[in-house]
Amino acid sequence: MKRFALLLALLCTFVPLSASAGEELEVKRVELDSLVRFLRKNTGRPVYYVKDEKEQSTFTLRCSREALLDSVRPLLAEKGYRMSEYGEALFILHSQSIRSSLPYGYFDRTSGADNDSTLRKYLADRNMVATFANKVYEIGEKEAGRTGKVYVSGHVRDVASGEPLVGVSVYDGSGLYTVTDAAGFYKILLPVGSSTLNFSGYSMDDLHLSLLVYDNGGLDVTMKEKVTALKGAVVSADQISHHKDAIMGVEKVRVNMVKKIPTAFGESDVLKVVLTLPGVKSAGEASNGFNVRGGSSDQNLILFNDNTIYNPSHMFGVFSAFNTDVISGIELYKSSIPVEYGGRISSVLDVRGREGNSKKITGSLGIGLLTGRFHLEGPIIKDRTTFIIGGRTSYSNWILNLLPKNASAYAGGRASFRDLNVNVSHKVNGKNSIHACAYTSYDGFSFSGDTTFRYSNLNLSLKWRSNFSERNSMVATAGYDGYNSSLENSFNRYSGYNYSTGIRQAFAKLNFKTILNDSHTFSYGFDAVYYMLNPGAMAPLSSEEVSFVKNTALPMQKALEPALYFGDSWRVSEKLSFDLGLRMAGFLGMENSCFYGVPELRVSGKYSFRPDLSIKAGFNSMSQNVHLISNTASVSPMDTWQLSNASIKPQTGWQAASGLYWTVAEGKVDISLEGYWKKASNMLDYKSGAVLVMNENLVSDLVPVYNRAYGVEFMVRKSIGKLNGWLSYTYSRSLLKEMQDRGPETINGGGWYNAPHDKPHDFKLVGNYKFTHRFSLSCNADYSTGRPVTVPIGVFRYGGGKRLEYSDRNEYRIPDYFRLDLAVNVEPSHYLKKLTYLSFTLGVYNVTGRKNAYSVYYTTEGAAVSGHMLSVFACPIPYLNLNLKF
Amino acid sequence: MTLLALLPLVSCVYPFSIEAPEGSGSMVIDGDILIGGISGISVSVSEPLAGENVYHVPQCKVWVEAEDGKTYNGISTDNALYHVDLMNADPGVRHKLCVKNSSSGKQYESDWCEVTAAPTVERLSHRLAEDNETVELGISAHGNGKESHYRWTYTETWEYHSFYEAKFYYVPPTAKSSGYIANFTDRENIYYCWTSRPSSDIMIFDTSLQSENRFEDLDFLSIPCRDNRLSVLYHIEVYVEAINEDSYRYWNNIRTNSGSSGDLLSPMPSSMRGNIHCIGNPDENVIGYVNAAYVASAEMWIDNDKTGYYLVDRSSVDLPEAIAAEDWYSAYMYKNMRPVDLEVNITGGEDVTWAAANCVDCRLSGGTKEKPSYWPNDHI
Repeated sequence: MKRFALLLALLCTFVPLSASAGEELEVKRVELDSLVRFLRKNTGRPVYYVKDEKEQSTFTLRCSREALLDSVRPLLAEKGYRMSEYGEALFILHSQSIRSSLPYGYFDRTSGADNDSTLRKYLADRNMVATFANKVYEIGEKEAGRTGKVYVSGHVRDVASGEPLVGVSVYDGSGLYTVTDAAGFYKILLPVGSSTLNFSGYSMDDLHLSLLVYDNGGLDVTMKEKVTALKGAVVSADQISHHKDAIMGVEKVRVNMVKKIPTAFGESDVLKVVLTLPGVKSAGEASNGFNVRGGSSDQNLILFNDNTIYNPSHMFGVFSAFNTDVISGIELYKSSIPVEYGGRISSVLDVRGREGNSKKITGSLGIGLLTGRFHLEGPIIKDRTTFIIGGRTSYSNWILNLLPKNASAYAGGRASFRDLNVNVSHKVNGKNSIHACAYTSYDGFSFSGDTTFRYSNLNLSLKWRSNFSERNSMVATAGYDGYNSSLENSFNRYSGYNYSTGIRQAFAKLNFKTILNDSHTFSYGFDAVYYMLNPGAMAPLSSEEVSFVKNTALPMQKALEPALYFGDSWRVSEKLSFDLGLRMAGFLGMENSCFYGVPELRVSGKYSFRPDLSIKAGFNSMSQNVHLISNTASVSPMDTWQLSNASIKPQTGWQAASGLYWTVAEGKVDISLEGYWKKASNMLDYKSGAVLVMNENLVSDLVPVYNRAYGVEFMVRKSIGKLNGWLSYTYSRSLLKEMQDRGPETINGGGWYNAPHDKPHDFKLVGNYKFTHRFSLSCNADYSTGRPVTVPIGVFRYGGGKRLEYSDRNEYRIPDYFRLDLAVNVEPSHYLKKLTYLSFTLGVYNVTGRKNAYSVYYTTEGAAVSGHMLSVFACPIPYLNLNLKF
Repeated sequence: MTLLALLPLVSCVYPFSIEAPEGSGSMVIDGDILIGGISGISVSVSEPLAGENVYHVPQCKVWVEAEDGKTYNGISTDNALYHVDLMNADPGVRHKLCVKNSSSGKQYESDWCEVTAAPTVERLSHRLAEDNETVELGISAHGNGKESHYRWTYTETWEYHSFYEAKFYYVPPTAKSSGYIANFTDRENIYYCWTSRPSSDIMIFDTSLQSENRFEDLDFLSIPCRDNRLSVLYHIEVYVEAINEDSYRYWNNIRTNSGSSGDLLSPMPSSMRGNIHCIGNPDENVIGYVNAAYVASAEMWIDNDKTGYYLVDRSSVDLPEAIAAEDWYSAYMYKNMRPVDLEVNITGGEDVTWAAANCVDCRLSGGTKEKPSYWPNDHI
C-alpha cells in the first residue's frame, strides 16, 4: 500500500474546490481531477482514474454523504466515464479506454471482476499501467534493498486499440536504450533510484515517466497517438535509434505512411513504398520484385509474420501481395542484417502483421479502381484473444471487357487476384503469448485466349513468445510456406500442356535473447528450413482426352538448411557500441548428399561524437542456397527456383558499409550519408539461348557470375511536424561478370556488364503536408537513370526473313525515368460520434503525364526495322479510393 | 504482352530509336545441307539497322564436304545464292558446309552434321477460326528418327483476280493517232493474276516433352478471310525437316529476339553462337546454324468455290462510271482509271465505263500474269 500512498500523496496536493464537511456535499463545475480529490477526501478510499485528454467537461454535484457514490456514478456515466470498485479502491476510467489500462497480470485472474484477490494480485505484482507523465511510478519494493541495476520490463500498447506498439524507443537520460520488439515488449536495465524513462516512436506522443526503482519489476505503458501532428505520417526510424544502435542500413515505415503514398490505382502498397527508399530499385514500374543495393530480386528475404513470401506481387507487380489493413509496418535491412536472419544475400524485408483490436470489434471496407478489400478485427476473449481477418479481391475484368472485340489483342484477356489473411493472438499470461497466422493468395491471368498463368501463396505459422525470466526471453516459431505457379497453354488440342513449378518449405526457429548486463545483450538460437522444390512438371491439359503430352516431372529437389547463430549487442559506453554476430549456415542437399557450411559474419559498430552526431561502419557476409532462374527482365511466373547442389554452389556475398548520421533542427531532421561496397560470387546468370523450362540439365545452361556493387546514399528525413517525409539521392552501380572464361561464348567477352537493374542516379522525394487535421497533401517524385537493355545494332536476312543482331548484354539504356504523383487525403473528424467513418484519397499518378519507357523493343516488318517504346502509364491516372471504417 | 492486357487504357507504344553504332558486319551463312536435293546457300553480311538492302557477299566458293571424303561444289546462280547438288549424297555419313570468301580469303566451316531422317507430313489442314474472320492452316507430322525437334518453311502461291474484269483497254493518243479503246483478247486479260512467296516466319516445334514424337493440326499460318490469297485458289507447299536440339535452340533464340513484344516477362534478347566458325579466328562471330537433313514436303489447295472462306471487301471499291470519250485521256492519265465495260445510256447509245486502275488491273496488287505450270484450272 505504500506505493499507493505515495501516489495519493502526489495526486492530492491540491485542495478540493468545495466540499462540505456536513451531511450535504457540494461541488460546482469542477474538472475530473478535482472531483477525484473530492471523492478521495469524502470517502476515504483510494481513487484511481484515467482522464480522457479530450475531456473538458465539468461536474456539478450536490448530495448527501451517504448517497455520494450513487450520485457520482450517473454523473460520470454522462460524460463517458465508468466507475468500478475493486475492494476498497475505486477506479474511474473512460469507457472507451477502460480496457487499455489493465494492469500487468490482469489476465491471470480467474475469479470474478469484483473479487478482492484481483486487486491484491494487482498490488502484489507491483505492476501498473502507466499513461501519465506527471506521476512517479515505483518499481519493486523499497524493502528489497537492491543496489546497482535492475530490470524494468513491460508491454507498450496503443491506448485506443490495445495493439502492441513495435519499435518504440525506450531510453533514460543516461543513454540506456532499448526498442520494443514485435510484441511491443521492452526490457531495460535501470539503476536503482529515481530515473526518467522516455518512450517515443512513430506518431505517438512522447511519454516521459518518472520512476522510483527499487527492484526488478514490470511497467506496462499505453501511448496515445499524436493528435496535433499529422496522423501516422511519421517515419518510425526516429532520430533516437540512429544514434543508439550500431546496426545500419535499416529503413522502417509505418503502415500509416504506406497508406499516404500515392500509387497507380490508389491501392496502398507496401512494395511501392519500399521502392521509395534509397538503395531500392526495380526493373520498371509495375514489375515484380525489387533490388536492394545492386542485388538481384531473388536475394531479398521477404518475411510476412515470419513466413517467407516467394512472390510478393499480385498481377505481376501492379499490386503488392500485402494487404495494408492487416499490417503494422515494414522494416528493410539493407546493410546490417541481424544475425537471426539468413538464407538471402542482399536484404531482409520484414513485413509485420497486426494484432487485432483487443477491446471491440472494428473493421473497414475499401474500394479502389480495380480492387475491393475488407478487414475485421476484435477480441474473441476480451483482452486475451484477438483476431484480425483481411481480404482483397480484384474486379479488374470489367476494364478488359470494355475493350472492343477483335480490335485488341487483349480482348478476351482475364486478370484477377484475391488474398486472405487471418491472424489470431492469444495471451496465455503476462509472460507468454501465442500467435497464429495464415496467409493465402491466388493470381490468375490469361491473354489471347490460349495461355493462362496462375500462381498462389500459402503460408502458415505458429509462434510462441515467452519472457520467461527477467533477463531471458524466447520466441519459437514453426510454419509452412508454399508457392506454386503454373502456365496452361491450350494452343493446340494435342500438344496443349500445363507446366507447373513450385517451392514448399517447412521451417522452425528458436531465438533467445539474454540481457547479460547493461553492456551485453545476447541474441542466439537456431533455425532450420526444409525445402521441397518442384523444378518443373509438365502434364497434359486435363480438359483434353487426346494428348501427346506426357506427365513428366523433373526430380523433386530436397534439402535441409540449418543454421546456428550467436550475436552480442555490446554497449562499450554511451558513445561506442558494437553489434557482433556469427551465423553458421549449413546446407544439406538430399539427392546427391552435398553439404556446404558457410560461416557468416555480422559486425557493425557505432561511435557518437555527440548525442546527435554518429558514425557507423559494418561488415556483413551472407550465403544463399535458393536461386531464382530467370531470363526475363522482371520476375515471371515461368521462372523456376533451383537449390544448390553438387554443381551449383551457394551464392555468397559480403557488404562493407559505413555511414554518418546527423540530427539537426532540434531533432526534427535526420541527415544520413551511407556508402557501401558489395561483392557476390556464384550468382547465376543464363547462357544465351538458355532453355529454362523443363530442362533436366539446367546447370549446363547457367553460368556463375560475380556481382560487384557500390554506392552512396544521401538522405534527409523529417519525421515531425506538419511537413514530413524524406528526400534521397543515390549514386550506385551494380555490375556482373562471368566467373569462367568460356571463350567467344563468354557473356560480353568476359568483361563486367551492367546488371539489369543498374540505374546509377536515383533521386526520390516522399512528402506529406498536413493542412488541417482532416486534409493532407501527399507527394511522391522519382527520377532515375534508365535501366540497361540489350538493343539491336544490326539486321540480317536469315531463314526467309529479316532478323535482328543484338548488342552486348545490357550495353545500352532506356531513357531516364521521372514520375510525380500527388494525392489529397481526407480523414473523418476525430470527434464524430458516428458508427462509421469514411475517409478517402483522391490522387493523380504520373501528374506530368511523362511517357516513361517501360521497355523498348524492335520489330521487323517488311524492309524496315522499327523501334518501339512501351509506356505503361503514359498519361496522368486519377484515382479515388474510399475507405469505410466501423 | 501480359501486362499490356491489364493496362490497356493507360499504356501506349511510341516510336523509339537508340543511338547505337552500326551493325557488326558479321558473316551470315543461311541454308541447310539438304541431302537428296539441292541446297540453296546464301552468304551475306549483317547490315546497319537502318539499312534497306542485303549485303550479299559475291564470289564465294561454297561446298559441302562429306566424312566419306566426297566434296560437292556449289555453283553461283547469281551473286546471292549458291546451289549445291546433293542428290547423290550419302545420308549415312556426316557432312559439313564450307564457304570461302574469295575477297577476304577467310574460310568458314560448320561443325560436322549428322543427317536427320525426314519426318512424315501426315496432313495439312485448314479451318475457319472461331472469330469467322481468319482461316488457320495446320500441319500434322511425325518423326522417323531420333530427333524430336522440327523446323518447317513453306511457299504459298495463289490466284486472284481484279475486282472488275475489263473487256477493253485504252490506247493513249500518240502523235500519229488519237486515243482509242481496244478489245482485250483472252490471253491479254489483266483479270487473273498469280503470286508466290516463301515464308518469312520461323516455325519450329519441340516434341521432346511429349509421349509421342508427333504433332497434329498445329496452327502455323493465319490468313484473314478478307485477304485475296483466299479469293480464288490457294496453294501451299510445306517443307519439314527434323533438327537437333542445338539447332532448335538457335532458331528459337532468333525467333525470340526478333519477335519481342517489349514485355518485361518475355525473355531478354541475347546473341547466340551457331555452329559455323571462321577457320583460324574462332572469336569471329558468324551467324548461322547449319543442319543436314532429308526434307519432307506436303502440299494443299484451298479452293474458294468449295470452302467459301473469302469475304469480299467492297468498301474500298467504287462502281464503274461512264466517261465520255473526250475525257478518256484525263481519266487515264490523271485519275489513274482504266476502261471496264460498255453501258447502254439513256439515248440508247453505249458509254464506256471506267474504274480505278487497281480495281481493274490485277498486276497492281502485287501479282503477275505468270501462271505456275502446275496450276490446275484453265484461267489464263
